[in-house]
Amino acid sequence: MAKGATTIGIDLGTTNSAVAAIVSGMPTVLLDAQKRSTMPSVVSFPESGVTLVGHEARAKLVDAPHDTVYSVKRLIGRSFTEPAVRAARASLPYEIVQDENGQVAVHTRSGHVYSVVEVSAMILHAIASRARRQFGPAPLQAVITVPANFNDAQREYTRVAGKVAGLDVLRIVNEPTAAALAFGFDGKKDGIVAVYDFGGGTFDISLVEIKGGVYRVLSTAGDAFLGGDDVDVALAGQIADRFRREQRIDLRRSQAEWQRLLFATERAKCELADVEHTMVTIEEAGFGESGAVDLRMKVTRNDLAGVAYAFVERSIELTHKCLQAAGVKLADVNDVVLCGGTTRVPLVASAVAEFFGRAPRRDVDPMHAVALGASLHAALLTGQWVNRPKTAPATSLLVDVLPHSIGIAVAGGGVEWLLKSNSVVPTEEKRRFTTWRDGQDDMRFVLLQGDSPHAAENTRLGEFVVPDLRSAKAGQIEIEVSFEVDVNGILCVTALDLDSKRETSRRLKISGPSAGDVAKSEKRLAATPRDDGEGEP
Amino acid sequence: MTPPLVVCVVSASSVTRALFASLLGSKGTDVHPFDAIPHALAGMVGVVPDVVVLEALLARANPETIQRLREAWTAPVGIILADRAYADERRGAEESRSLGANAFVAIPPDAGALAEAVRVAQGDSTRSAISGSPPSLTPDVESSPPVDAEQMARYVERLWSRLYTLDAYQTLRVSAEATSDEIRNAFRERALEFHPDRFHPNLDAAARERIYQIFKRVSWAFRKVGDPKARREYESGRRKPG
Repeated sequence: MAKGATTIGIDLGTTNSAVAAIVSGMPTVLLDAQKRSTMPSVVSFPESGVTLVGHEARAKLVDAPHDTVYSVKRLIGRSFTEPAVRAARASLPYEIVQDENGQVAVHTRSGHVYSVVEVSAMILHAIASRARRQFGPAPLQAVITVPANFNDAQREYTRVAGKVAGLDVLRIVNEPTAAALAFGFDGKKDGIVAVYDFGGGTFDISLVEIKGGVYRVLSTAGDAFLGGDDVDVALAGQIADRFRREQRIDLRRSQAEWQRLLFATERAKCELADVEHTMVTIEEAGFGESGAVDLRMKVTRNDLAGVAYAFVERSIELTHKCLQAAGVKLADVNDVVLCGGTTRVPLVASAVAEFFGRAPRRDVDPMHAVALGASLHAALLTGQWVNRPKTAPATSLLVDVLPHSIGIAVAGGGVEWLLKSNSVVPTEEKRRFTTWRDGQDDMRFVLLQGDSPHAAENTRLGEFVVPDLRSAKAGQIEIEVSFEVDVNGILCVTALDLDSKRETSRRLKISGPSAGDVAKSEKRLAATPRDDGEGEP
Repeated sequence: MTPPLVVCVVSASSVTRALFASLLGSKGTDVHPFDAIPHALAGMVGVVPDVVVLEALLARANPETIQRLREAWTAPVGIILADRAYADERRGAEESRSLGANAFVAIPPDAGALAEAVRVAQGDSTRSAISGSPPSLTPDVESSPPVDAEQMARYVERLWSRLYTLDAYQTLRVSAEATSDEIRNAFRERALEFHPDRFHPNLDAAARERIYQIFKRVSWAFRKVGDPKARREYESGRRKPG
């Protein structure tokens, strides 16, 4: 390990997070004091006393559902007005409010208000403390993973959360790309790998070509609202329906009862990875006219397959789209790699095997692949991969792509595309714009990200203004705007007045909070005593 | 008094031709620039060069070119391949020799390196350098990037200074007739050289920034010609006047 800093890879998941580092030459998942490899991405804010993060917070989902925040990854980098946020507000037990920047914050019944970035930072800090425990208090340099389909704002806010958590964020990397690195690092096989990443909250499919140590992403597709949590909700819904028919008690009426059911259902779903059927058992699951009623219900693999079917079908649709975008035929795919907890659902693995006509590789735990790959990437970036296995190639390089097209809104509700999806990043595109009326004193651009030809159907990333133009006739002032997507997949813009050769802005980020807000969050985090159950000094 | 050295510079780029002419001409050398090989061969009637500087892209497009050049004259001629900067000049020299040339020089050349190449080519002109192995253009992952930080810094500096004058093919260092596979391989080679994630421990922040600028341009080039449909659009865009 180099002097001063420790490099780690963090898989910041919707439901669970994990951290890995290179230990004696091999990427290794770091465990907590109880030898657990993952940590629930949950934070609980009691009315008084310390904030809980991780396993202990997850236990509070049942007793204190209104004070316990989970699935914040579904909200990060989103504006309050997005339909996705409206949908989340309807289904999440904690309250979602808007902060001063139009971003999403959580408001617990216990009276705490934290931005989504702050909650994410608490999770990142807690999981990173495993590295502190193992390697000492050295500064941490981290690669943090995000779903490949994350847009500009989601990436930038995740990066900021890492910074607020006190990490030196080396890079934001796509989860499936990281997983490909974890599977391919032994350098044994060149070819095209399909990484099917079905996590708790999101689904991604990426096609990665591995050749001579270069991991080039050919295409990626995904859905930010397709995950194992949705399977839980659907299965719990089915159980609740049966229970209502049999007992005339609706478990959905009470948040506490519903959360207990979700909890038990999720556990049953995990058990069904190994057994044909299991029991969902909840004592005093609900209260009817004659008092408390227990819930005892048999759930089979077929029940699970029945509810998972629609989700799996959607994922296969996206997989097909991804192959088409890359111009890759099924027969060209040499390996299929599964990652994310939802791939443990039996139907998922068999559907993927059926689609590709080959059994997926299982040599890396799907729950750990992303964190392991991220730790490898961190070590590669800093030149710190010492004692690497002899079979590993001398070089490993990830070349990733843009998940959604980036463009500017034009008159009439259309979009002028600057960078199409699946373009290699980092990259830049320069365009020239001239003034269109006499005496025009600024130029405004609305930047969009998405794949719809209609401006309104894409995500609005923000506005970019070239101010203080000198007074001139229409068409006389020409500005060259360089749209740059950096190594993290984050957009920044540089504008050059071609006439005066003056840069009116330089690498201006379109998404993200102000420096002042970041500093404020850092202070708030330091002032919130937390127990992450990780035994941090 | 010895007669002046006669050098023919064969390149499709007028800038390259002018640059070599000015570097060589200042030494009292008789320089004849030609803009492409067919013209060069025709135009060379009456000129017997001692040394031919040939742009490597032209040679690669047609590996027999060098042999044909040699056969164009009865007197021995030394051939220097000139190429847009190589990450590893040793590799450039090796590839030049495998193609049958006598020496290698990077574009744009340092005056010293060019003088040395001319000296080598002149002394070496009596024999063809063709080795047994066919010219190999497959990416050689292990040899890149160069271990020598100073060499890399020079390479980066050279490429960076003319980045926006190169078209998509030149940026990727392929010929305009390259197949899709050749373009993909070239992109992979360039990524290994210039992707900002490559760990360059000996380079300073300014050089890393330049590497980043170069890669952004490499990915731009790959976007323009990496996909057959995009490539057709790029080609038709180039044919339009202005």
